[in-house]
Amino acid sequence: MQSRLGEGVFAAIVLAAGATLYLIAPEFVRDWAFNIPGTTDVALEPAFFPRLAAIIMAAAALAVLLTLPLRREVLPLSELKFPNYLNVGLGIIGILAYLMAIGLLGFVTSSALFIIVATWLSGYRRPMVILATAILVPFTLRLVFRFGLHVGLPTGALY
Amino acid sequence: MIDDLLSAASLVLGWQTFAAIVLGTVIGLVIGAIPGLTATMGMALLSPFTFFVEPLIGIPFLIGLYKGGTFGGSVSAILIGTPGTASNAATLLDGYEMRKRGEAGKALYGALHASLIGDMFGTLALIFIAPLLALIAIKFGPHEFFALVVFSMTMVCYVSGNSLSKGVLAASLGLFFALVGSDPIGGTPRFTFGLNDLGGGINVIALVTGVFGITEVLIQMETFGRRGRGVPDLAGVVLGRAHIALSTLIGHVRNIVRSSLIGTLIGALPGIGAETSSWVAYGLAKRASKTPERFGSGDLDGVLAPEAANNAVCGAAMIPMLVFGIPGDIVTAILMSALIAQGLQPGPFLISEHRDVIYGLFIAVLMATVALYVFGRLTMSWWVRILSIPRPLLYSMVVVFCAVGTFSVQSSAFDLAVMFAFGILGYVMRKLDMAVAPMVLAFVLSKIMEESLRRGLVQSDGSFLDFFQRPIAAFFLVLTGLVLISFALVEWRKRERNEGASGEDHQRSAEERE
Repeated sequence: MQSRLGEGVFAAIVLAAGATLYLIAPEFVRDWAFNIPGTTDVALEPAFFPRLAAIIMAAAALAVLLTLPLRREVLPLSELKFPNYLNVGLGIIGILAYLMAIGLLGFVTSSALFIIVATWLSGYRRPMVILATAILVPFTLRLVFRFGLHVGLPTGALY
Repeated sequence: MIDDLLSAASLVLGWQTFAAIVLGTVIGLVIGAIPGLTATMGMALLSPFTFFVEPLIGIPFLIGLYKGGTFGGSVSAILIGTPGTASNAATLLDGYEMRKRGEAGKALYGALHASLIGDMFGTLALIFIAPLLALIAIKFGPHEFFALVVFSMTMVCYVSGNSLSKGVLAASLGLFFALVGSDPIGGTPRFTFGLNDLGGGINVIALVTGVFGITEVLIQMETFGRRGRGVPDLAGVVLGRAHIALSTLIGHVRNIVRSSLIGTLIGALPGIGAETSSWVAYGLAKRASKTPERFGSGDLDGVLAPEAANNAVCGAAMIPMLVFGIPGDIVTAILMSALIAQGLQPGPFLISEHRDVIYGLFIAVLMATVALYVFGRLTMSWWVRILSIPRPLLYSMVVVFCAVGTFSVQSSAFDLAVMFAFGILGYVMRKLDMAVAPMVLAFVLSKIMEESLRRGLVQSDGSFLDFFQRPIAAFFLVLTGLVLISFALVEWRKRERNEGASGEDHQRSAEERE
């Protein structure tokens, strides 16, 4: 039941997005930059394709909503319990914090911290292996990118 | 053609290309073998690394990774009963049963040899058919390209997942995201909301890394946090006789050749991937077998057929990608992005304008086939150890690779945000049993679709009828319509059967209550 509700909510959001896109398309799509008479006249106005995409989105979302009562398959969502949601929620927060920390602390430092914290909180309890991975992987990547590929990675406040 | 191959050989037969192929193949084998890591994810994570090296080093690396990843998935399918990639799901049915009987080594070696032969078929098809097809593709106009793209997108929606409406919904999301950036004809900004970072559109690597990398990490994280979990039980795995006799293989040659041809044919059709080919090959092998009742309980043919087919797809799927610029599946879509990043625009003129490079790639594809066999054999004894890598450690590294790969493309922190957002979207879609492949392919194909539609209209003076008056375009559009109708009929019949079955259950339980 919960998973069907989730499916319905997702389809409803996409339906609303499609309808909104159809209405706002002309506002967010500017006119021709290079108006070539005879050519751009028949090449469809700039808002045509966005509106076509919006119609397809809305139609597909409506089809999913209308066929919801007929669906019998068990969705992966229905197998989730509260501990799973908690794990995923913490994972999302953790990954977000890591991505934000890359710019602040630097790639190597933030990656090492992320590997240590994420692995420890995930239940893996071998400190030496974790520490070795946390040092070797980001440092090696930094060397490969810096000296092998000549691409800079963020250094941030630390490294 | 032989002259072209010989002259390209001098570009490719150097230690750097060789090292790139070996490294890509070995990494692909490892990635494919670990459940949850797929060749697609590996390509998404590692393709940015190739943007900064020569095309004949970077692209062969990805090709090796592709082939290694495709075979590598059979290792976990056979050893732990979990396919490493979707295209190895058919291998599991008989491969895992053989492992239970102590014949894991025979299954693995059989899979390796079948993969080698299938791969060779696909590679030869690529080398000989692609240049010929390019001569025909040059005559394709925007009408034909539009029809081919619509057909490809429909096929992707058809083969991905169980529901056409969900597949189309996913594809429409891809079309929507592809709108961001600039109008392909007029050149004006579109849906950038004033953000400079969106001026060039959404970065395809950020999208792909998000939906295949971050999404998979979130899915794996659902079951983390309990001590001792995250490592598959490999106790008692006995490889058995890690060898397969030539006479045994010869006895199965008809199955292997048929499956290789199926994989080659299906792989060459845009929009259909290795997963479909492996199931079709399995089904036909069972039908052709003298002992079909043994399929599913450890028949070697049940391992050889899908493995030959899914590796044959590797070379063949590159044909529509190189010749038409229409990727056959997600992996070739990523390969196409890598080619474009190297200044090689796939399409009918690619082979004629970059003859040496393309024929060099053909030779690299052949070298990758050989590397797959050699390193597949050499690494047989490592698999049990590789599959024992703890998941928490592995997936934390995956996140780091996702971040560094995505950031390195444009040195943009905004891309990291895009990757994160698509990771969450991909997770929601997977939980709602919505395939993400249609979304990604529609995103990649959207620009070609829009450009060819609008250029076609310019050529035909605004008339849509021209799309049906040109024979090749009409053929693909009619075929698309037939596929949609057939899928709708299949879904309707399935629903009727389910309702009939549930009606009988209700009747039976009512009778029992009486």
